[in-house]
Amino acid sequence: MMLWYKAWRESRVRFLVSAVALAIVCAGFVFFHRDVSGGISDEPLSYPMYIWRITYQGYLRELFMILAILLGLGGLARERDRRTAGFTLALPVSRWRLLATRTMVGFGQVVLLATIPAIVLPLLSPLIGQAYPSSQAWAFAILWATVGSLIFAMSLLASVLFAGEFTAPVAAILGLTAYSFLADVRPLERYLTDIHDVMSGFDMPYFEERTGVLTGPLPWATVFTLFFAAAALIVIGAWITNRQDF
Amino acid sequence: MSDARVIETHQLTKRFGQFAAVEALDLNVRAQQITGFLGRNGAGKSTTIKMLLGMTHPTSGTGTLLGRSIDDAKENREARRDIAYVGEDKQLYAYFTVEELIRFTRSFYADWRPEVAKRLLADYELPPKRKVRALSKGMRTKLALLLALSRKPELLILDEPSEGLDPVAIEELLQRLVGAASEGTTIFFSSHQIAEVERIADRVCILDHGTLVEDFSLDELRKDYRRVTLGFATNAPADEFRMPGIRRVRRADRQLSVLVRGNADAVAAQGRSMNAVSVDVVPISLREVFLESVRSESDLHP
Amino acid sequence: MIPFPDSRQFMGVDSWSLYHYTGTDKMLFSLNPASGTPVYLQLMQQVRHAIETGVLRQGDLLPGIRTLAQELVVSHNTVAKAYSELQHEGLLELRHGSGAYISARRNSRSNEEKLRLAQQRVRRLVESLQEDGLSEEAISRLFEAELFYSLRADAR
Repeated sequence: MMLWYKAWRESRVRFLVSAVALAIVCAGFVFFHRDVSGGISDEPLSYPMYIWRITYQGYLRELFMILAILLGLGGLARERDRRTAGFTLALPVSRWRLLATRTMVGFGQVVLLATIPAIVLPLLSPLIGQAYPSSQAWAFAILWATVGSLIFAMSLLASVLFAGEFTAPVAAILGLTAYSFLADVRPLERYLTDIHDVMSGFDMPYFEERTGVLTGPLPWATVFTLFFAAAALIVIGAWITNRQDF
Repeated sequence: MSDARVIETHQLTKRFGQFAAVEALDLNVRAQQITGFLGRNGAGKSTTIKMLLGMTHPTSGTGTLLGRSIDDAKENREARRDIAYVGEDKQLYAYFTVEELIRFTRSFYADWRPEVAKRLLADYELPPKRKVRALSKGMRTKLALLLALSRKPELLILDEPSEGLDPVAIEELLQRLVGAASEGTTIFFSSHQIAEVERIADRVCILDHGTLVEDFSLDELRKDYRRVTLGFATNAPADEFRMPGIRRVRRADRQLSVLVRGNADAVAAQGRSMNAVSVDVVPISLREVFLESVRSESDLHP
Repeated sequence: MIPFPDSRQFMGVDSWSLYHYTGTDKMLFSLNPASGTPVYLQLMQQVRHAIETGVLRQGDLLPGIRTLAQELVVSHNTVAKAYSELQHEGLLELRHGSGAYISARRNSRSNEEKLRLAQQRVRRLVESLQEDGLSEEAISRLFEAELFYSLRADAR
C-alpha cells in the first residue's frame, strides 16, 4: 500500500544511482580487463582470479558496502529534521509498520544490488572472449546479499539513533570500521565473523585461494546467523523508535 | 452542543530534564464545539498536542482522545483514524507531487470526500502535478489544510493554521472551519491570532508555562468578565483588594484597575464604599484577558 | 434595547476590525466579538430590532444555521442558539432544510411610535450631556454601566 510507495520514492534515486554505478563499474572491469589486470598484478591472472581480486575482494566490495549504508538512511529521525515527522506520525499507522515498510523496501534494494555483478559479469564477459560462470556469480550474490543486509540493518539502526544529515552515515561507517578492526584483532578474531571475508571467501573453507573460485557448499549456518543478526538490529531499532519523542 | 469529552487530560505532564514543558494539565475539550487554544510561544501548546497524538510520550498523567487512552499506542492509533491534524510544521513530503500526496493521504482514511478535495484543489489553485518542494509556504499550508478539510473527521486539531496565509485566505479558512464544525466536527485549534479565535471559538483555553490558567466560553467572557476602574481623589488604597472573582488588580497613584469575573457590581460597590470618585465598568476583550493571564508583573514593569 | 454603537476606541488599535458588516440578502448584521454582549445576543437583538422596525417582515427567509455561520464567520453554535431563542420567543420558525422564517406578527404601530419617541429622548439627553462637556466615550460608558447594573439587578 501507500507506505511502500513512500519508502520507495524516498530511496528511489539513491537506489537507481547505486545500481547504475555498480553496473558501470562491473562493466568497466570487464571491458578494461587487460589494463586493470596488468595494474594489479605483475604475473598474469586467470580471468576468474582477476574478477575475484577486483570485485569480490576488491573495490567493488567496498563500494557495495558503502551503498548498503546509504540505503539504510532516512526514517523518522530524518523526517524530524525535514519537519514532516508530525505529518507521518499523525497517520493512523504504527511506528513499527513505518519501520517495517522501510526495512523491507531497503532490504529488497540491497538484495537487488547484490545481484548486479551476478548479472553483468557473466553477461558481458563473453564480449571480450572470456567467461565467468554464473554459478560463481550467484553464489557470491548470496553472500553479498547476506552481508549487505547486515550492513543495511546497522545503518538503519544508526539512522534511528542519530538525527543529523551526516551523523547517521558517519556513525554507521565508524561502526563498520570498528567491527572490522575488532574482527582482525587476536583474541577476538575467533569469535567475530569477518564479514569482509564472508563476502569474498578469503580465508574461508568454501573458497579456493589458488584459483579464486568458490567451491563446496555455501556456509549456510553463517548466512542464517548474519540474517538473524540483521533482524535483531532491526528489532532493536523498532524498540528504540517506539520510545522516542518527536 | 454535547457535553461529551473529545479531549480529556488529567495531570498531564511532560518534562525535558528539569524543564517542565507541560505541568499537571487538566484539559477538557467538548464535542461539537470550536475550542481555541491560546498561549505564548513556548507555553506548551505544541507539546500538549503532540502528546495527545502520540508523538511525544507523557512524563506522567493520563489523557483520552475520543475516549481512547493517549498512552496506549494501539488505542491512540485507533483514535487517529477519526482525527485530522494540521501541525505547526507545514512541511510535506518534498518528493511527492500535489496529486501524489493527496492519493497517499486519502488511502489511510475512510472519511475522505473526493468532491470536496476536488473543489478545494481548484479553490486553492494548487497545481496537481507540481512537486511539493516547488510550492511556496502559503501553498504548502493550503495543501496541508486541503488534506485535513477533505475529510469528515470527528476531531480536527490545528496548530497555528493561519500562519503563512494572507488575510483573504485566513477569512476563507475561518469560514471553512465554521462549516466543518457545523457538520459535526469538533475543532481544537491553537493560534496567535486572537482576533480569529475571538470570532469563531465557542470556548477558549489559555496555557501559560505549561499549565491551564483560563478555561471559559466566550459567552461567559462577554457576559461576566469586566474591568472595573476606580479613581480616587487621594491615593488609592494600599491594602489588598480581595473579593471572589478578582483575577488581577493593577495600581496607579490614584487608580485601581480590577479584572473581575462575575462580581463587577460588588467590586464597584466596594470601590464606592472606599470613596472612589469615579467607577467605570467596561467589558474586556479576549486579547486583554489573554495578556493579563500570561504576563507576569515583571513584564508589566521592566 | 437599541443596538448602541460601540465607540470604545481606547480598547485597542484594531477596534475598527471589531465591526463586521456582513450578511445575506435579507439582513445585514453588525457584530462585535469584543463587546460585553455575547454574539448570539447581538444577533437576536438585531433581528428583533429589524422586525420591530419593519426591516424584516413576516415570511422573510433567513439563511440556515450553517450558511449564516459561514457568512458571518461565527461558530454555528452561536447562530443555533440565537435562532433557538428567537424561535422560543415566537419570532422565528425553523423549517428543516429550508432556513428560518420570520413569523412575527407585524408589530403594532404603537411599538414603532414608542421606539421613535425613545430615540428622540435619547438624542436630546445625549446632546445635553455633550453640552455639559462629556465626551462620547464618557456618555457611552455611563449608559453601559447603568444598563449593566439594571441587568444584573433584574437577573437577581
